[in-house]
Amino acid sequence: MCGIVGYIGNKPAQPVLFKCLARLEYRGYDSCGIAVAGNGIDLQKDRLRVGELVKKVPLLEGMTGVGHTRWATCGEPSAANAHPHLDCSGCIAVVHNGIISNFQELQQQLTDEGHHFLSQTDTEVLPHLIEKYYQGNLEEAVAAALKDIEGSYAIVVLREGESKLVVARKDSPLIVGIGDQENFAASDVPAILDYTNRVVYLEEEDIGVITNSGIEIRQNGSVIRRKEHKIPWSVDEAQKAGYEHFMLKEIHEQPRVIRDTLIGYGHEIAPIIDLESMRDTGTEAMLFVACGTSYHAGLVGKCIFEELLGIPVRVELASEFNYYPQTLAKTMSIVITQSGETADTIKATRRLQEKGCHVLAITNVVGSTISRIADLTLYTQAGPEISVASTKSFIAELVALYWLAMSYSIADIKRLADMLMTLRQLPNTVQQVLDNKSGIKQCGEYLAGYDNIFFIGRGINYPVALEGALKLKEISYIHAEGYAAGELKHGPFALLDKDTPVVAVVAKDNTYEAMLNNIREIKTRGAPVIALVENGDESVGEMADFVISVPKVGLIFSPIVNSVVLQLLAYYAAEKRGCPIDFPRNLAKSVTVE
Amino acid sequence: MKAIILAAGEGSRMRPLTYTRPKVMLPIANKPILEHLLMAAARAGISEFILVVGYHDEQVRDYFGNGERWQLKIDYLTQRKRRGTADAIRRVRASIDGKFLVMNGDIITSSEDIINLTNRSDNAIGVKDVDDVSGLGVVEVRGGQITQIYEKTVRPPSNIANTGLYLLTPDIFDAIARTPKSPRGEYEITDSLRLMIEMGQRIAPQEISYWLDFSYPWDLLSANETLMAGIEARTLGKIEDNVFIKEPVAIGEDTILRSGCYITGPVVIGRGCDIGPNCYIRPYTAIGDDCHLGAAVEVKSSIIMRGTKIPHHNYIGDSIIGENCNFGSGTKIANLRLDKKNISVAGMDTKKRKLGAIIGDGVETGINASINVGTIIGNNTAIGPGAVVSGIIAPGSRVF
Amino acid sequence: MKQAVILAAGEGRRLRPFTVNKPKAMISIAGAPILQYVVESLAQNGIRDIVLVVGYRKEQIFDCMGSGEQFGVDIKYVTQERQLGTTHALSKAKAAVNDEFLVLPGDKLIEADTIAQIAAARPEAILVKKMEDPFRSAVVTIENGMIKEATRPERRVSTQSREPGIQIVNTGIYCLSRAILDYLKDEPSIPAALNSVIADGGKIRALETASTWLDVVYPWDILSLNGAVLRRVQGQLGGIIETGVTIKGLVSVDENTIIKSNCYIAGPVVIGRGCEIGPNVCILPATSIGDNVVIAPFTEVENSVIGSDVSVGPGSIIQDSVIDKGCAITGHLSAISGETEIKIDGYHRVKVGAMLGEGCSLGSNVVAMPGVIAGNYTQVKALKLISGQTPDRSLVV
Repeated sequence: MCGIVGYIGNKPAQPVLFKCLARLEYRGYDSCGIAVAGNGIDLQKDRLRVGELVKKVPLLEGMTGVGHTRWATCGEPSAANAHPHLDCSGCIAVVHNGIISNFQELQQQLTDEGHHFLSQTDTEVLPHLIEKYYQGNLEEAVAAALKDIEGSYAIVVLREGESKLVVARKDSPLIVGIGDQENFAASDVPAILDYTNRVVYLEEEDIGVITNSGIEIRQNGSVIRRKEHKIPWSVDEAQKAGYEHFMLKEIHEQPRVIRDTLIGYGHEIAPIIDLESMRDTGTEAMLFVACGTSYHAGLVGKCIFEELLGIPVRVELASEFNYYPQTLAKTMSIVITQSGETADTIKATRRLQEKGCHVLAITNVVGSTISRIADLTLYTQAGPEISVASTKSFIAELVALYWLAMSYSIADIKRLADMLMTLRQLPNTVQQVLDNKSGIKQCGEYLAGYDNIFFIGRGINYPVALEGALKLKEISYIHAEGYAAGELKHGPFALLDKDTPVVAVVAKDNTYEAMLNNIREIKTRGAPVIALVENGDESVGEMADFVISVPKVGLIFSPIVNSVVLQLLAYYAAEKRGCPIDFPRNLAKSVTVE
Repeated sequence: MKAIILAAGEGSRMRPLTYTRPKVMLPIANKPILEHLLMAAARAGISEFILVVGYHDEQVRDYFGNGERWQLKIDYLTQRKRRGTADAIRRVRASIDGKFLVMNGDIITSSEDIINLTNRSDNAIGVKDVDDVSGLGVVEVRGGQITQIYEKTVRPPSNIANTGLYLLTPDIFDAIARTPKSPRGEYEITDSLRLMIEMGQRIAPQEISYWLDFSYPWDLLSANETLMAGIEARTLGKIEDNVFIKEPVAIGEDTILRSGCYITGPVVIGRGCDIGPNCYIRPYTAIGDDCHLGAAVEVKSSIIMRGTKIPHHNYIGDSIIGENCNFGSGTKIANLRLDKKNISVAGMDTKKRKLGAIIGDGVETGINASINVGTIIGNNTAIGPGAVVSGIIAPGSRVF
Repeated sequence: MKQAVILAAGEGRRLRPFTVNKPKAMISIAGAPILQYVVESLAQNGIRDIVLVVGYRKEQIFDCMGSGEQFGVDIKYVTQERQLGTTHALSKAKAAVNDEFLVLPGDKLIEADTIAQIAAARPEAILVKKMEDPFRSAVVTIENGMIKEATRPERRVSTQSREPGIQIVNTGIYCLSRAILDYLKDEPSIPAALNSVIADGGKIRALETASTWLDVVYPWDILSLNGAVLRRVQGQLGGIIETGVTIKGLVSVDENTIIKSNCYIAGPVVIGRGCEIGPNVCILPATSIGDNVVIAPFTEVENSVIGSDVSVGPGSIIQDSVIDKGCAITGHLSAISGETEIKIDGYHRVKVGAMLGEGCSLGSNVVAMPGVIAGNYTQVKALKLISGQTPDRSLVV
């Protein structure tokens, strides 16, 4: 997964490209580069982050250019493998995001035809293919080259002496920004928000020609008009506003996110989306598909839906689901993705739709790919999330799932009214956790001293333990494992000793007694225990080494407060270890490769 | 000579009318403010324009295009971020040679006044003595020269208003280059002119005799009366028998006036409207394209925008109705207080004794809804049957 | 263009429990904290370069003010970890300030007119105000429009030495130049530093203002602040107003709120987003209600401040009260106003209802005696009578 940008207009291209690239670093940052068409093509790339390359590069002349920030998928991070890539003549520059699966045979074929390759990347076949097909018209050459390619791509192509950029996409995101006498191409909207908020989303297999006065898009050779969108977000919203890290800022935004998401859904527990129309008659099961943190939200959702709707729910990882032979054709499906661009989830959605399933998408990004292909979309109100580690979007996904489940619940009205009341109080309950975080900070700093940590939970809090472990390993690089508390004795007990702390999420529900037993077992193996317990719970305190009290919220809502505690725990552990919290190594914000 | 017209502003005091269009596109006598200004400039012999657009620029571009329809040449400059008037002028330097005209797009003036201004040889600002300068920029004049320029202030130090019409020479570009950012964070052309004065350059005042300026929605109604007085009667639509028309009344193509309509001019009706039967339209009413006014409807001194339906038993007086509204049967707008005092809106005296409502786009009302004097209703609001509304209603609300 | 340094690091201990989880500047009225009104007043005067000195519970300020873009200003944050007086706070901002700048307190209600005067002044100048009860502030002495002696604001004066009558008081709003920063090191407060400037022969102008400048010192002062803020409410109805609702005076209802049938609302009243009010609820002047609040049928609220996420059950009476965010009131609460004596730094005779901290939960039929101050997260069982002051997390059974 990488970030690509293109610029054509009336300003020197170099500073614009660098500014846009800096905003795409969340997509990857192991190396970067730009190519500017002025006197010939000037190419500057290295195994550096954007901020570092800016200082190294002299001012290049030219008002047309392309840029790339890379996260290696094919070929190690190095200057040679950094994009842009050129053809043999050095006239054509290409930046690419995606994977070309048949590149080895293409490379062989092109080498046989006398082309010379400089890198180990799949991308480099593109400029050579375009060179091969070029007969005076760049877009035709690109179209011809793309016919030879299997895999996914979003590309921006530049040729010396031609005042245009050619763009194309398949299975990787690409947008075009419309400016005044200048236009942009980029992987994602934030890249160009400094310059314009008018955006055209390219659809699958669109090929576009961008000049400084406009854009012409073709689909299968015929010109097609794509709708222009106005983006309400501004770049400044993405500033840190006093906080050290975006992650901490986003954790603190959660009370507001919950409130906004709830307010957006209305006053009464009424269907926010017409599920009835999707529900196939006679089916009594649901399927959730998601990746990473959203998958954990799905697991919590399973418990909520099974409890409130009384029907079985299956939750699958999109990356695995895509290889399963069965899809459960007559199931109501819900896919969850924060960015709406996660490649695996999108692929799963397409697969489900091919089998005749209706798909409801839960996403945070208006106009994202998933919202355009899903049958119905439910938006969360988390706002732009910058930190690679998802926090507020996870909570917003949970709130959306709670609401969805409640609006179709078969539970009695009184219980729902009580739940609605609890839900309304949630912003404040989460604020309470944030206002009293000094104890959590202490525990986080304590955990920073260990190399292996277990997170355990039961029932609805089992996914919370998984998510807590994920957050910790993502940003603090501590090896952490989330485990169902009852499963520890089937193996992991062998690993427990005084250097392996266990974080136990204890809820006062039907799992409580079992959880106490588990903690007792762990303590006898000498492992330090940090327990998350409800306010006023005395019995865990006697066993655990540290106790973090969380406000009481009623059984089904405990994942929300517990998740916030574990987010803070991970944050303070990472801070203590001096990790780059917002941009952890080897990770990118939206995963647009499979 | 080229003219630069500043048309990038929202005009927030004109809300809710400016939620979906820039201030310069507000219609008066069925034409945008900007068209009235362009036509005056065209009659004064100017044929090349640069429109500085920004807020809802698509509306301006769609309407005026490249100017062919009026035999004018119109170019655009987009100002996406608010960087000020001086910045806009700086950016068009390349296409300027010699003297040029700069006009605020949200005012209306006469071709004679523009000719008087363009006939000057040096830098000049159009000025006008006005009684009430609150909310306006003003200038100080001594010995036939402008000695100081003030932005809008609460207590203006003179009553000579800056009309927002400027004749500038290329000298201004040097001054613009040295202009600092204003407290608003923008580069203002008045700051550049002030710099020129400080440098000892001469800036002359040019008295403007005809000048319409709009701050608040109700100012549009006064201007509507002024401009409607000069309309030409013409009938392009179809008129059924038993329609009474007292000229001047202008009726657009494909409009039908059904039997029993009684129309006293000046009245303008756009294209494709369906009026009547038995509809009473009184003077100073401007009805946009594709509107429907039905039976037993009385309208006076109002601006009704495109696609709005006022179909049965309605009274609309001294009001502005946005696009695509739909009035339920019997919905009426009051326009006079029982105690006959001036009508105030949001605590502000409009200095009008008769004022109805200012209604945004897409507002729907139920049967027999009553709308009180001076009510402002935001876009896409629903007013329930029989409801009585007054004050300010936010966009997207539902009042029952 | 001038810059403004806002001092918002202070805690405001006497305002507890409302300042346990937030700094004094973040006390909210009508959906916005005091600090936001100060920032908006600055923006109205074209002062958009703002340095915020934060410290105590600074996250609350970050969350609310952000980068300032929402308010059309540009905010830089400077952290003062320990609250060691105004000179210490200002010296923290040293690297961020320009040649000339304003200094203002972030925890007093300051109107745009007030700032207009000092914004036009040349440094060094102090804004002063003639007012009663200098018990809480600092008196300055003036000679020919120049400050003769600027004493320290917030001087602790014991109740006995309270001086009656009108005095000239330092508002804590200054127009300063960089030169002043040299005097900061040795002095505990800005007025003390100014005194040494004067001693060195420097001139400091005194500008007198007649505009609003309101301090909040004790919990019940939140009500007078509420009154001052609501005085400039713009009436605007949003959301859903059901049939049979009576609305009089200036009432502002924000989007996504529903006012159900037969409610009677007499302005000035501000109701935030996503609330559910009624049916048959009576809201009397001067009341401000936050976001996401539920007020159940047959409840009467008068001259009170209700924070966000609060739910008030049916049949309650709430007068002259402050209910902080997230309180859950089951129903039939009686919080009736009355004259009472409250002890915080000495005794105060005030007419007030109940003051509840954040996240309190009250069972049904609770009687809150006038002047009760319940700590954050206090829980009260049904049919209890609460009075006096309770610490945070109390349990009343």
